[in-house]
Amino acid sequence: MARVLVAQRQRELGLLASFVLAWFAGCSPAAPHCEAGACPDGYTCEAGTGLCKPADAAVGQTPRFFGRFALVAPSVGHALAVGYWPERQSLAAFDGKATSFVAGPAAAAADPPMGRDVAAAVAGDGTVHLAWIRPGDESLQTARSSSIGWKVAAVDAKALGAVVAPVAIAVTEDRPIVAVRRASTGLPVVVERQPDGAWSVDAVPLPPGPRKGTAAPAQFGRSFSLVALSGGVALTLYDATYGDLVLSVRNGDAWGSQRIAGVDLSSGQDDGDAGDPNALALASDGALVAAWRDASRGEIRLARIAGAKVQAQTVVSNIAPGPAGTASPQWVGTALTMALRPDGRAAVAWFNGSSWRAGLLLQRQTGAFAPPSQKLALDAGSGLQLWPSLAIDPDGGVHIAWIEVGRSRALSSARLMTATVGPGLWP
Amino acid sequence: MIVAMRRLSPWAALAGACSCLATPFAACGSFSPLPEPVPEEAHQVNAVRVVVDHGDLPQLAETLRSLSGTSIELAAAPTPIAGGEFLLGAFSGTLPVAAITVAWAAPGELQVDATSGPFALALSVGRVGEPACALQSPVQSAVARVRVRVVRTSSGDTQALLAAVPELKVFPGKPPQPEPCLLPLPTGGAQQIEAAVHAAVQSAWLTRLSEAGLQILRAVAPAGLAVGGQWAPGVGPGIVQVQAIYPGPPGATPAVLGAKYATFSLSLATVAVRDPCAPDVAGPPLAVVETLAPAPAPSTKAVVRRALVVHQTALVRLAWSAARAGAFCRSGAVAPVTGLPLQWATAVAPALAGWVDDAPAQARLLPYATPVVELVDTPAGPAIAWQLADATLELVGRVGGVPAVVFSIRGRVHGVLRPQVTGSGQLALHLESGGMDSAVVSSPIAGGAVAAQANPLEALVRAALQGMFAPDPVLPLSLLLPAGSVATDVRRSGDALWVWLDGGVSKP
Repeated sequence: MARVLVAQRQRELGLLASFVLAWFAGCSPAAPHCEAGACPDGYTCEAGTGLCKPADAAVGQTPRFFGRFALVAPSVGHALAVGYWPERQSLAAFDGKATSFVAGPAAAAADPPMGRDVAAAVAGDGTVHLAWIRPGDESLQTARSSSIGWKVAAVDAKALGAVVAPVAIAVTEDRPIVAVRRASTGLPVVVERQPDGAWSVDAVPLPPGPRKGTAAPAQFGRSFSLVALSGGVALTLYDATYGDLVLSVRNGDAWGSQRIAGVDLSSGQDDGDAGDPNALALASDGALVAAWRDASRGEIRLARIAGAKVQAQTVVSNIAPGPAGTASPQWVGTALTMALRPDGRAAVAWFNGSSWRAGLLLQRQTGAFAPPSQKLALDAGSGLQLWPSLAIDPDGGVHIAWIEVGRSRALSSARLMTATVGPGLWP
Repeated sequence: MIVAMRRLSPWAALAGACSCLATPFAACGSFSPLPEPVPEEAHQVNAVRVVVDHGDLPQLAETLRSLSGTSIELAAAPTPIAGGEFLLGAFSGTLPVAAITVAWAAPGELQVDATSGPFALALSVGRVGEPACALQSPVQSAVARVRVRVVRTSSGDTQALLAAVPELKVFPGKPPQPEPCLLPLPTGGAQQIEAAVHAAVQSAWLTRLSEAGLQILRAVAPAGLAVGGQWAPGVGPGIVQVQAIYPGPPGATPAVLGAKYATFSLSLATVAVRDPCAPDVAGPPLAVVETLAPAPAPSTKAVVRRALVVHQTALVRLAWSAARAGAFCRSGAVAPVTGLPLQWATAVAPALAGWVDDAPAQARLLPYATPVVELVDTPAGPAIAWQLADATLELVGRVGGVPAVVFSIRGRVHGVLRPQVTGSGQLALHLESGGMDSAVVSSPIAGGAVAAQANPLEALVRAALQGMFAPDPVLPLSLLLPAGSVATDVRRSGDALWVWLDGGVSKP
């Protein structure tokens, strides 16, 4: 496996920096109301009041994500990482230079902590759209970037009600479409902002059971993937009832769905547990490309889907040498992400839950799976590489980001890493 | 999902690879028919036996008496006699069964001797077209002998059939005085009436005796024990093929008569296609099990008591083949671990605080050695002790919602599985105890070995092993034995496990 990546940048905000900030802000042991270290990381103790205040100075530093985050690439060289910053208990966006807060106490003092399970998508004009769930009323929140900051809006609770993860987002005609599950039923819906600003809610029709006489699925996994089509939308979701990956497509007002993994497409017989997690992208020729983990085989599979035709192949195996001549199955693909270039080349980044390292696969995606894919390691020494995320910029540049934890394995050493894939690496 | 099959291999489940037969959706593999019979050289002779204690023969006789009826209704249609000049009218009556004994006449051949008490039939006889004359036909006794036997079929299962034409002797009673109704009959007319009575007894009684005898033989030497199938524990190449047959040429009996038992022997073949995750270790030898150490029968009453005797070497062979096929190490063997605090990772290694989500763990076993299996006695009863001299137990948690290995524990893994009878008379395997010795704990988070807290680690390992065997795998006796068969007790004698069975017969 090649061990090459280019243009690696890193930003770090360590505990030391926050203590220094607090010390400069007057939070010494002699301060009247608060002491150094008493304020959370990212807050400073205001000398006059003795209260912990968000440290404006922290904005502009690299956020310390610890958990899955989203990556979008609205323009060349400016991939935007959006995720939950635990110390600030807020949803933060980092463009490689500065951090802005979207929601949570760091953005608005009255906000509760929020920002986990965020989804992000970018519109043609470069506007970034976000969706997440606000704890408490479990309402669906959206935000869009603008020249004056983030504009946050809640989806009409009367129309939708409380929701639960997962959340996926796509953008069509500069309007966001969000896939989420209703808390009351657990079933998936697609929420779309109409041109007049109102929100419409469309229940995703459930496919029948995989075989005659089996009931429709009732449970869904942690992974939705959504892409906007011309006049429609495509959604992959994991049917946790039968362990299958389902593709639902809406053209106009008509929905159609098919099982594309976890079941033998010709015989209808069960073929194991597949589809959680999954990723979906739209190729320039109109075909859909999906990547998913096959949990039964412990592999990552990639497929090109054109109509009812599904061409799938295993692209990442789970087998590594083990002791005593055995092969030791790895936990590959327990997290994965995919991006598709306009020229049809696909990039899949995945997390190996056995080694705690991330990998990157590059594949010319024509359905023939030729030439063979190129697999790359994110070469960062002995550190841990968590929650890889991918994005494609309008010029076809592939951006990858992950959380790196250094040799010390200290949580405080977690830092956001970003890189781009060099053009010479593609097969 | 599991594809249930009529002829699946129960032995795969017995090997304890996973609770496939009870888990609704755990990727526990798939069952399919054997593509072709397993070669004869792979068979272990006498690996499994069905044993009937000679001491239970009186109870078998009583069961046979109950099945065939203690009071037999006799009936006959009008019968012309004496060349059609006379007519024996329709008659009916009741034969009281006095005694039935059964004994093994030969290996696999059960002889049933039945005797009736005295009874009388009310007959009527007369010239055709004239009023009939009523008379009593006393019977001192009827004596029947039925011989049924078990033979092997060409497909290796069994068939119960009549070993000889059933015999019946009817001893007429002596009337107190010459019967006037018989006087007009020509010579031979009285014998024709006796023949009609004989035929009525034969058709009513011998048929029932024969059917009851065959039913008992089908219960003690069931054709369903001759099973064959293959089990793929995962989606990889690993496959276990299992075949049990009654050995010998077609038409011969698979039974042997001993001083204490009648035994019906089965040979068992297991062939494994290796999964790459399993160690490439040669299988245990195919020992021929010559001796059968006696086991005391349970003191409880039974209807058709017999024992299914499985030799330890067969269990060893099954465990080896299941392990070789990857039953212990495929992703499908991942099991949820319950009964632990959500902060299980921090409890074991406080240095990992903050790393792992508060969520239940999963476990996966990776064996680097073939399992060693032996029968042991525990305070609760006989059990199957197993150990893997070298294995890794992976404990998987979630970090930021993503499943990942938190602990990798390498050492000797051991467990004790105790077969126990369920409330419905099925046989379940319960993990009595389990743990690891000489364990070295490492974590990808730490980048190597971690100092683990002894007690929380022990609890974690125990819970992980329990998760792998939960819920208790159930041996589907109902698929192997005649309907209504149940397990009543489990005992160990020498190197064999005795599963005492009952039931499996019913009144027609």
